[in-house]
Amino acid sequence: MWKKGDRNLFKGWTRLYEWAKTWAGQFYPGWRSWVFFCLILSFLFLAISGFLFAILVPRGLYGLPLLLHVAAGGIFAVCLSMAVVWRARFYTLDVVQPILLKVMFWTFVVSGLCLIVTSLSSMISFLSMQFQIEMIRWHRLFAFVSLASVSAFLYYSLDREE
Amino acid sequence: MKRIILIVFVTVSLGLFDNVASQRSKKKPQWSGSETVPVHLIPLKDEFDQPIIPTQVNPLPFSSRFTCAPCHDYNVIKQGLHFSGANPDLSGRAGEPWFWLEKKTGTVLPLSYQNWRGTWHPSELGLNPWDFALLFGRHMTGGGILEPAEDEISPQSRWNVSGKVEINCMGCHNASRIQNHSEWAKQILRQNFRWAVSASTGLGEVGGMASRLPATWDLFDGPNPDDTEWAVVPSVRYNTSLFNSRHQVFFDIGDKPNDNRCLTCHSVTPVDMPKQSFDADVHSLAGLLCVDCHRNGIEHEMIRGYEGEVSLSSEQEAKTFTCRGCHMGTDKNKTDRTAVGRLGAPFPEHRGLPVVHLERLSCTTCHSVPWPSKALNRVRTSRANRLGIYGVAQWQTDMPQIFEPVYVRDDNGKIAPHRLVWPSFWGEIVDGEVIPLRAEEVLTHAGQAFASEENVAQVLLALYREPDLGGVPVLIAEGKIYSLNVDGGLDVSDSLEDFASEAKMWAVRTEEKIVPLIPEFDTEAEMMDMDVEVRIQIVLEALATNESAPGQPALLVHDVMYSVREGYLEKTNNPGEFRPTPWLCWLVEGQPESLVGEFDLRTVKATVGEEQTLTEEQIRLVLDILNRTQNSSRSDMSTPHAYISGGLMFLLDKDGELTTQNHESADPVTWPIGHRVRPAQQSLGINGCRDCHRANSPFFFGKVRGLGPLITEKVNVRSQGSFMDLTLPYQRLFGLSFSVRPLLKIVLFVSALVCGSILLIFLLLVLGRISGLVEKRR
Repeated sequence: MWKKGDRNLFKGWTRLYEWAKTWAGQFYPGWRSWVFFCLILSFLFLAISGFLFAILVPRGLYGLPLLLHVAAGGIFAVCLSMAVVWRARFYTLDVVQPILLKVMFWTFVVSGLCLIVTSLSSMISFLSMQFQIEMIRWHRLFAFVSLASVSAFLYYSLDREE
Repeated sequence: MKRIILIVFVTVSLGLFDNVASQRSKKKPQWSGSETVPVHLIPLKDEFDQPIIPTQVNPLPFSSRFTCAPCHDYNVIKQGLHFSGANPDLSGRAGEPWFWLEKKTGTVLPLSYQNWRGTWHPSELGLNPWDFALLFGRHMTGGGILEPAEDEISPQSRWNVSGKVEINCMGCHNASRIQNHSEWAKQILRQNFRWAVSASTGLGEVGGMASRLPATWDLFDGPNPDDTEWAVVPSVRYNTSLFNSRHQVFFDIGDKPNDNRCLTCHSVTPVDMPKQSFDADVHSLAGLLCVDCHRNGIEHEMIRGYEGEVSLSSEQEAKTFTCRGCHMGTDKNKTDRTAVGRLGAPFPEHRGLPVVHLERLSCTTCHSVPWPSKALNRVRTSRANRLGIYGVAQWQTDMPQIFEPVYVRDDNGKIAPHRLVWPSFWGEIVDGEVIPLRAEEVLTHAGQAFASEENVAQVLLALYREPDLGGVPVLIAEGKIYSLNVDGGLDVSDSLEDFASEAKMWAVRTEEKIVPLIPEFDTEAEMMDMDVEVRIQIVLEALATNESAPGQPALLVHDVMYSVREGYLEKTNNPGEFRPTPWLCWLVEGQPESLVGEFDLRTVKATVGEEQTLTEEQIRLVLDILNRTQNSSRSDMSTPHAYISGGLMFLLDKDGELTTQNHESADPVTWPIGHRVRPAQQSLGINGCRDCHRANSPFFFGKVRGLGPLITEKVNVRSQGSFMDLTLPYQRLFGLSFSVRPLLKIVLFVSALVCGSILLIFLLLVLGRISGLVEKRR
């Protein structure tokens, strides 16, 4: 499964950038590439800020990072919905694509949707505090699922390219 | 042999029984199980544990220690919270300190025997328990330091005359409305300490004043038949109709003390609010008594009800009587509405409230005290402002100025609403620290600098005593009329237009008009107008009665001087400058001096009618005097002095000019607020996050301006956020983010809708394919 050369996969930012550029050029022509890059960057920031604080800081996410996390969440939600509109048709049952890619794509969409819903519900004032606490717990779980799906999607895509 | 064995057996058995019985008696008294209160029809005992016969000549006042003793262990009760204020081992959350006030010198010093931030220990200011009793006994419960042991009595005190202040049991437990706190305060003021309980309970009348008795007087000396007017020995005359034939008296003791008893010392009310507009705490409105939550056993270790108290208090139940204890229960596993707290308190849903608020804020932050506004609310408290003492004399004071709410991060790291007072006092700067000076010490050195109002009042008082003036003497200065008030001070009112331009004029006010004290007249006329002559003589003779006058009074007009010599009006040459209008003065070593100096006049104009009592000019003058005074008690050399007011330290620079500095001694003293709890519908955040999180919200950015007795623009100004140890630029940014939050919610909602719709379509397609309704695309 894991080849020796693949160890540099996530260390090589240049390689990742090249993949993203190619991918954007291929599937997100013109101005749409901005949406793709915004999606990647916002997701990266959300993942780093969220998991870093969740793991290392007992209090969890707070202060300016929280503020930026929320702002990045908004960008992520918009970009995700646009990407889904544009790309969903390439991951339907009839399209010839590796099944693993399809599964990862739809897993990412589902977890992304759940991330949006769980963050939105904790902002709504007619839900109880206990419900919010549950939502934050689920938010963390779906964040993990989305990160896993993106990682697998990326790994498989890069593997196929090679 | 059998007999010996029997005797040994019986002896051992009796010994064992006695041992068990004595152990039982040392145990905490157990509740009998009855919910009723026994009728307290009991005989009174005096401080020598002797029964009181009310019809006796000169009966002694009753002693709560011995009257209540047969059933209640006084020595256990006196360990209670209300009697342990001076116990340094009594830790726990800070409470309201005592404020030592002296209006004349502008002294507001927060005192506490506890090591609370911003307070001074009474002993640091040379206050012993006797001084403390006289200053604050009016709102104390007795016991504790008011009942010192023989080895704790200092030589300067007069406990042998006054007696000790025993615990005023009935002050809290008397359900009868005859319980009179005003009487208690008066008896304490008169040093009738041992008589205060009898007087306030209403069992009898107490006369006489221990404060007027010589320090050598003792209770065994009895009354003084030679003096029935002034130094009258205190005595109690019991109301014999309250006693039965066995000399028993009925104490109306209810099941629980009613709130009135607690509020005697614990009232907090907004300044300038009419009584009918005042809303009580929501718990009181719901019918709860103070003691429903603030419970105690016979040890009187009262539950204060704050979070964290349980770790300090031996009353393990304390945990269940916090806000959370009652409303959310103490079972950590139950965090929903199945959690059961105390007293049927409703479970809070806190809809839409991020959980971090419960971790970082005390419940009172959102639910107590008035809503935060741009300016703080000013309140008065019973103990600080002497409320609840009624009578002809006005006991209540405007000082100290107490403000709320200030949101302060407490020792637990939680933000909680606090009350705040800016201290003000004179002090000596020793090694960078400001050591407070007692007010009398300042007055000894610089008393005249504070006597401006008194100087004017004494002139007016001297004139007031003269009935033939035909009206009330007043001083008119720059459009204002200054007149005597009942307290011997001055009142100010606006002048009539006729005198608006007068810089200074002595006048007489009648019901219709104001006329000059001495009318203008022709000094060169051959025959002086008799009315004027009489008027001048009356005024000069009245002024001569002023005991603090620096010299003889005189009247200067043009180049002549009128004075009274051996009962006759004498006309001589004016030794001073030409006076176009009549000018009253003092003759000091032959030279005329104004009745009231320019400094006094400036001070009176600036301070009379104002809450602030000092001017910067006074501060400069007093500091100059104090700096030149050698303080032998602390240092061989004269040390710099300072005045603390409005959050700043005022001191003189090397040129003698008044400057200000920040100093920790000038920091405000704060203490947390428990009540007035508002209903949930009025809690902070009920309108949403922007109640607090907005760019200029009073909660974070409200200004807390320093205030004190000094009239000045130089005050310390802090924002609410500075008390919370928060980064304010971030809070501003965070607050701004809430302006776009509705947009964010819309964005998230639309995004969720789009993603959800496509996901739904995909799922329907999958379902269609499985069911064969949708064919595979080619």
